Order: sequence, then structure tokens, then C-alpha cells
Amino acid sequence: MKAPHLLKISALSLAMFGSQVFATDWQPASTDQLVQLPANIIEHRIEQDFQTSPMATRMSQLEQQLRDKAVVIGDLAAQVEQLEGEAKQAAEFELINEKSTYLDLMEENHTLRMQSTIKRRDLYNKVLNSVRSQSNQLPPADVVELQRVRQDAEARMEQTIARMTQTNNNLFGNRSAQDEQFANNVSLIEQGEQAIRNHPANQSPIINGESVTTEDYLRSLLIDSGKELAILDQEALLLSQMATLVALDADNLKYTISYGDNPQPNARSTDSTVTRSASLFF
Amino acid sequence: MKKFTHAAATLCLALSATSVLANPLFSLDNLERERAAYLKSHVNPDLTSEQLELQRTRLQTNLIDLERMVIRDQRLLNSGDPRVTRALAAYDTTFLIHSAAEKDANPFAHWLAQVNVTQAAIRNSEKGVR
Repeated sequence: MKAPHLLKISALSLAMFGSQVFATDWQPASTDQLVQLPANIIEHRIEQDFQTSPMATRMSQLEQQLRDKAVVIGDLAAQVEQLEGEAKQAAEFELINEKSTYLDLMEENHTLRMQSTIKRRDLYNKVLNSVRSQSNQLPPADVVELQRVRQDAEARMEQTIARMTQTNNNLFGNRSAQDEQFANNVSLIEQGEQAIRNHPANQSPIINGESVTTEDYLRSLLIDSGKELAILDQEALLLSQMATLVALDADNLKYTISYGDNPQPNARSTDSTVTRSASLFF
Repeated sequence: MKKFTHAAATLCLALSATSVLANPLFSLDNLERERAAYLKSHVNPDLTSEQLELQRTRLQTNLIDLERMVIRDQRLLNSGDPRVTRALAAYDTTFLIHSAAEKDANPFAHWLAQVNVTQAAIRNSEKGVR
């Protein structure tokens, strides 16, 4: 009885974190596709892709298995309290085995959560860089200044055109068909831009009730994924502590089976034969 | 519905791809090319005075159109290119024909004045290696 137990426990210790291989990949939408979307839709799209991925399927399977295992562990822990002798040791062995399997599942789930968060973070980073490179490189103050310079130049040009038209200057009076078409299109484009700005699908993303730019929104998503990674790091530490406790339980059970419940070695007799015999002579 | 979404997404992508591929500085490039041709026409010894007059009138008409196009082209402002900033800041050289008309000057003489080539400067100039 003891030998198979020891063998099983040694195997258990060795295979503590062995895990099965499943198809758990997630291929998010490409950065080029995401950049085209309104900022508040980017997160939804990434989440939608994730939810349909083998990685998300495996994670929800793992969560269900973890819930089931937690019930089994609770039942076994209750049994251990009530049993005695070898039956108790067998239940304790089963409990350690179940805890070990539970930790394997937790480890796999944690690894997948870590991978998905890192992928999200990298994706947000790429989209943010892409948005930055596609948008105007000039600082906002420079853009405003440039607009002002353009408006001044346009006003100056309009004055010249008005004066030249009054003096019947042929060059300025005769506008080409393309120029007229271009001017018409400019006003149509302005109307189109206004309509796009006001379209409900193109509203600015909102964080805590405040309307923010696409860049701000993506930065906040990046910060959130950074915080999530920090929490996952803490969870990894907790997981390793739990694994250490299970390994210590396994060691303890192994020693109990080998040496019994009393951890103290039998006291060696200090009764010396020579001392005992002394009275025979003195 | 799925087909519609797919078609809409494809259309959006195709349109955005077109706008990405298009050169946002196209109108400014055209203006600068045409202005260079106009200035060059003043130092072309191969044309007769009538030919020169016809050519300059045609180039000036083109330049008037192109200058108006550049001033109204929002894509230039959205490009963030420093060339646009420089072009708008230098109104007198970028919008040469309009600026010359504003000052009742000959466009070529106006150009030379803007780049500080005056009769006195030419007279004082010396031959040599810079």
C-alpha cells in the first residue's frame, strides 16, 4: 500500500505543472482594418474577434473545469476531516492530486489570460502608432496657426480677384470650367465633412463622461491593459505560492506514510550498559 | 445583413486605400511645376515674342486656377507637410500671379523682387566662383 502511494506522489511532484496542449490561438484583426474604425468601435471589434477565437473557447472551458474542480476539492477536504488511518491518507492523497490538477488548470488559464492581454496591449500600441502616423503630425497649435495663415491668404486673394474683376481684367475675369467645378466641389466637400462630423457613428469616444480624441482613447486602453498585466503578475506570484503549498502537502504526506504521524524520531537510549553494570562491581 | 456589412467594409477600405494612395500635395506640386515653367519662359531664347506672349498668357491663366485650387485644398493642411507651411507663409511667391496683380506689378518682375534680384544687385554682381 505504501510503495504505490510513494510512487504516485513522486510522479505527482514531477508532473505538478505538466499541461495538455490545446489549440488556443487568437488572431486579432489587422492594424490596418482597426485604424479605419471609429475609436469607440475598435475595442468592441477586438473583443468580438477574441470571443470567437479558440483561445477564448479554451479559457471558458478552463473556467468551467476550475469551478467543477473547486467543488470536488471542497468535498474531499471535508472527507479528510472525518476519516482516520489509511482511509484518511488515501483521501489526503486524492486531495493533493485534485489540488495539483486544479493548479495545472489555473496555470493554463493564467497563461492564456497573460497572452491575450499582451496581444491586446501590442495591438492597441500598433493602432495608436498607426493613428499617429496617419493623423496630422503638426502640434494642434501649429494647425490652428496654419489655418489662420490660409484664411488670411484666401481673404487677400479674394480681394485681388474682386478688384481685378471690377477692372475687367481678362485673365482674372474668365474663370475656367475646372476652376468653377473645383470651387463648387469645395463647398460640397465642406457640407460632406460637416455631415460626417455630426454623424452618430462618428461621435468622439467618451471616457468618464468626457469626450476624448481617438489618440486619448487608445492611450487609455493601453493604460488599462498595462494595469491588467500588473494584476496578472501578482496572480502569478499567488499561483506559485499555492503550488509550493501543494508540494509541501505532498512531501508531508510522503513522510507521514513513511514514518508515521509522529515527526520526532524515537529517542535513543542514553542508558549505557557500562553505567548499568557499574553497580555490579562497586 | 452580413453580406451588406462585408460590402460596406470593402467599400470603406477601397475608398480609404484610394485616399491613402493619393498624393495630398498634388495641387501644390502642380502649382510649383507650372510656376517654374512660367519663370523659365522668360529666359527662353528660342521663342519669338508672339509665341512668348501666347505661352505666358496660357501659363498665367493656368497659374491663376492652380493658385485658387491650392488655397482651397484642405488636403494640404491635413498633410502636415512642412512644405505646405512654407508655401502658405510665402504668399507673394506661392501665389505669384495674384500677389503681382495686387501690387499692379509684372509677375516676373515681382518674382525677381521677392527673391532680391534687383537691377542694382545685378549691376553690383561679379563673376566668380561662390
